[in-house]
Amino acid sequence: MDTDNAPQPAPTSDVVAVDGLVKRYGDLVALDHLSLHIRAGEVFGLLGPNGSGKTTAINCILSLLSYDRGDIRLFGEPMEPTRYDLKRRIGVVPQEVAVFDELTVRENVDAFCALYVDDRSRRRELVDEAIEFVGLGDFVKFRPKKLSGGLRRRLNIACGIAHKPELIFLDEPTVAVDPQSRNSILDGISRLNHEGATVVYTSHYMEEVEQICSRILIMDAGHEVAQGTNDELKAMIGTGEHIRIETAPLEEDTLEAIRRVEHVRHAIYEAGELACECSTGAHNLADVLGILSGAGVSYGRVYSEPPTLNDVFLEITGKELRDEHVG
Amino acid sequence: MLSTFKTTVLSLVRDHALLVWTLLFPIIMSMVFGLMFSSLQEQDSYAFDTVHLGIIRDIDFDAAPGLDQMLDAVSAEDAQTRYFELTDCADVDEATRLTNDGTIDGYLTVSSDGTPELHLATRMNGTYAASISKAVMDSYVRTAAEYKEAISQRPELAADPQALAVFSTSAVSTTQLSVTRTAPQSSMRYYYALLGMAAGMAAMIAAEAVRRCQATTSPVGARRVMGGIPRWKVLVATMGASWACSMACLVVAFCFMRFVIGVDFGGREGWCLVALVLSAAMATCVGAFLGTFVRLHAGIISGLTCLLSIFSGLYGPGVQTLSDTVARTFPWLSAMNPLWQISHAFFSLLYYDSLRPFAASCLGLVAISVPFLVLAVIRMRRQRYEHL
Repeated sequence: MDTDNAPQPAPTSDVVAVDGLVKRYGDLVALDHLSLHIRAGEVFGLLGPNGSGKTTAINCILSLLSYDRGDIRLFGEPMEPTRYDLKRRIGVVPQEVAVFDELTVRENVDAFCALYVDDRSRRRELVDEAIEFVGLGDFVKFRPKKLSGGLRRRLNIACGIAHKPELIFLDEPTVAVDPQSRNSILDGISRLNHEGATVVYTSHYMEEVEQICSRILIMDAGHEVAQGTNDELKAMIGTGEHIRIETAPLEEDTLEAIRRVEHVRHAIYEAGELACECSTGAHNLADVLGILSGAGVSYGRVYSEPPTLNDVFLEITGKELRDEHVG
Repeated sequence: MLSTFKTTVLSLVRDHALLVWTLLFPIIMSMVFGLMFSSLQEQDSYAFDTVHLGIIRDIDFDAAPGLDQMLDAVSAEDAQTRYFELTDCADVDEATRLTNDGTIDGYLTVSSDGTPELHLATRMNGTYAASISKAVMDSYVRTAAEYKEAISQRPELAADPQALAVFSTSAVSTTQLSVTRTAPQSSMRYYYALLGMAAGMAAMIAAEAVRRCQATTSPVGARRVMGGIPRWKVLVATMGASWACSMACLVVAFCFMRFVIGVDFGGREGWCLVALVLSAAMATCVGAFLGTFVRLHAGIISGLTCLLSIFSGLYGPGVQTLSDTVARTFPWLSAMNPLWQISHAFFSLLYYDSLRPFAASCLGLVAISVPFLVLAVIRMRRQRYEHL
């Protein structure tokens, strides 16, 4: 690791401070001068398509992976593999369910909690709390293979949070789970944050990140695309709301009139629905509806959707954030 | 550390695949060997059955000097070893008939030149009784020749019944000598080789336990590397738990062989435990080293174990001959085979009076274990990786 030329970080009270992180696999640059600063009490989202470097970044931060350049500090201290004092303050929920298949739910949570807490009676309390927290109270004697995918994910989380860490890394904890379990997991993360934990949450599901994260870093190909709060990110782009209106058939003149509205970028009429993509503007919907009324076109249901993080990603990188478009 | 030990033991003993190979496999194979070798053990025993011998007392028989007296001496009911029980037959035809119907085991004729000829039933082929009967008659032939030589030089001895008696009574003398501590039992070698194989299979235990500690080899390992207790404590507890599980499996196999199958360990069961301790340690060290490799499959360990078992003589007499040839021609090659060392340790306890050969095998096991332990520790201490 070459740290001689790494940027020197300013003194900080950030829980996580990463500056100029570079990780190469041969010719492939997995992380390209990535910097991020996470303050205590935040739910910080790392958003990006698969292969964008989210997990690599977390593994470097946790000292599981070596890196080529950069500086990593946790709780203001340099992070090293032997900094067990720092590790005791951290909880990790890996992307893959990482539990012992041969142990019961309770034994699993206890086994991982024991990596941080020596005292057996204290551990018993913590294990009980963690199991209750993730709602696995009815399954304490079950082995993981007997659990559904969603329950296994919950067990995965319980193993990572049982020792009540101050900083929790959750790496795509909702992959391949049913909506009910996903909501339960997201609620749990919010509760952990309300109880005082700082959370680093990686996902390629933009809706989840929008829902729970106070600040978001969007990554692509190992480097930062954008960083800020949800509103800040959306304010960075020109894309505004998406309007969809169910209408009677439109005359071409009417459609052209809509296209000439100041903030309407694109407008098409297809299958009984008018779809408009707007740039930022305060009265887009009212302007479009006004044109329809003026032309005597009757309309039914009206949808106006604000821009999403996918729009942010699309506008900045020119490609979609969603899985199917990821190379 | 205690919690890591407990977690590792629990996860290992509940792993059904491991249990099959390290615990059930040696027991099942012991049972199979027990059934296979029950008849072999009977052959191995040196119990001598008196031979029922037909005698045709014709002119040639009577002319043979001292033959009648010698036969009386070795067939007397109060003899130290009663080699023969004699049955008088009228002629060769009757003797043949009695031999064929099993009344007698064979018969004795004397040729015109005074040489006794032993005719034994084919069912006696390869038996100790047949060998000893032939040895008795060979001994008589040699003694008779010496008697005739003595008479030719000193004719007055022919008239001395005491001289004839001396030759007759000293005509047959057999002494059982043992060059080994216990009587050789060919089946024992299979059981000892099987214990070696069980130890080889037990390497899977440590390999699996270490795999669950390494960030590169399992997600659980990556998570444990992030734990808040020092790495060396996790590794010591893991190695200790692996050794304990291996030892337990080997002790169960040993006890099954000793107390259920009745395998002979020469009454040195205490020393056998020492061998088992070192065997489990070897399995743990080798398994720990192999477990640090990302793409290691349990099949590789079982394959290696099966291969090395060839040279510990597990698979039959042909392979045992090969194993012995390798041990004689390239002793260093056998010494490098941990399974041969384990098998040889038990073999030494059974057959050698001295404990030196056993100690040499034990030292051999230690010498094999230490480099693997060092390499395993070097590889296991890593917590940060280039790739995950």
